[in-house]
Amino acid sequence: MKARTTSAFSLGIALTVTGCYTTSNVATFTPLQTNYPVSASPEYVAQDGQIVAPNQYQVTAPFQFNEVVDGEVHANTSTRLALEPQLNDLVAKSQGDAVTNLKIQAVNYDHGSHASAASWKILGWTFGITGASVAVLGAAIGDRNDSSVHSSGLLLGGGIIAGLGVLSYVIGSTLKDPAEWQFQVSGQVVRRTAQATPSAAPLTPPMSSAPPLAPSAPLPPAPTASPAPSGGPRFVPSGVSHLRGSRSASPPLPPK
Amino acid sequence: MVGGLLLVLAGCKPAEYPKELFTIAAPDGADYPVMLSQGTANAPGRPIAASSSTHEAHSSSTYSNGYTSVTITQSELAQSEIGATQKLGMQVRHSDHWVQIEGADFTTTDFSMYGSTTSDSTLNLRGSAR
Repeated sequence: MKARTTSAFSLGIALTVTGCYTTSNVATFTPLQTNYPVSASPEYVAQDGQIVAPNQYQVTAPFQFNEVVDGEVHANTSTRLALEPQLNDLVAKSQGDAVTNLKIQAVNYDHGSHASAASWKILGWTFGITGASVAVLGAAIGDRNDSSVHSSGLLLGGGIIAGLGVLSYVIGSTLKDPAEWQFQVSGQVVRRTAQATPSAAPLTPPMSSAPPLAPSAPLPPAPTASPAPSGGPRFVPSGVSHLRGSRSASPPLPPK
Repeated sequence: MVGGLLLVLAGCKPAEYPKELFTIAAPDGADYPVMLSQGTANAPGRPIAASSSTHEAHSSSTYSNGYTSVTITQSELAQSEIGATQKLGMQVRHSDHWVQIEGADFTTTDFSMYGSTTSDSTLNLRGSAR
């Protein structure tokens, strides 16, 4: 009786500790290391500190490209979202001197084989530990002369169940489809055509108390940037860049 | 034992994760520069930050009593009402000249255990108003 209680308790503890899997995929963005200004809005701050409005530049090339940031399943991965190579190419090809209206949109997150791999591994732990417990129980009962249970049957059954557990875990370990952040990056390469506004002057008259803008009182709409020249190039680089970063193995977590 | 097996099998079902959508862009109607490049990052500014997130969780558990077996499945789905970019824009004052984005993190954490899965995604935006 004591052996059964101990076995059941050990089984519960073991299953709780081993059956948790976490995949963490972080795509980090840091200020772009470029020799030209990159702005998310129609205006930008030139290298001389002046603010350039949309009517002071012309759009030379709208663009759009995709980036993918991979993360290994059941691990913690952190990757910098490096857009500089693509942007440098685009600016050089269109002979621009700034990028405006840059939008970095996470359009999808593919979880890869996280769920399926976790299910197989959890199944593996469940069968493995259960089988081992049954086998140990069989061995313990086998020492008693008054037992009506055949210990060899328990040992064999436990071994088979444990073997299935090992097989399930191995199958789970072979599922390695990475988790993916999928980004769509769009914007426009521009070339400055006129003198800019000195940045020392506020863009709009300051409010008396300068409170944060409320959602119900949005800022006035931005002026539309000058359109791309008709027939001008629109760069849509083919293919998708895959970025991979450093990772660390994810240890089993305690239950939430 | 049967209940435990059903619980494990319930966890084998592929989770129906949500499709997240986060964006780093200028807030709607912004008529000021929102700089993403390093060139203007040295000027002092007023720190601003914002985040948005999604959360989804599924769990399943089975209880047995005699010949009766009951399986309870729970699903949770939540997401921020306002995106991080718009929240950041709400902190910009009319006296500010431009906004510098200092950094951002797109984070997704998937967690699986016996009979339950969760998926949490977050966009954290850090910047400064100058």
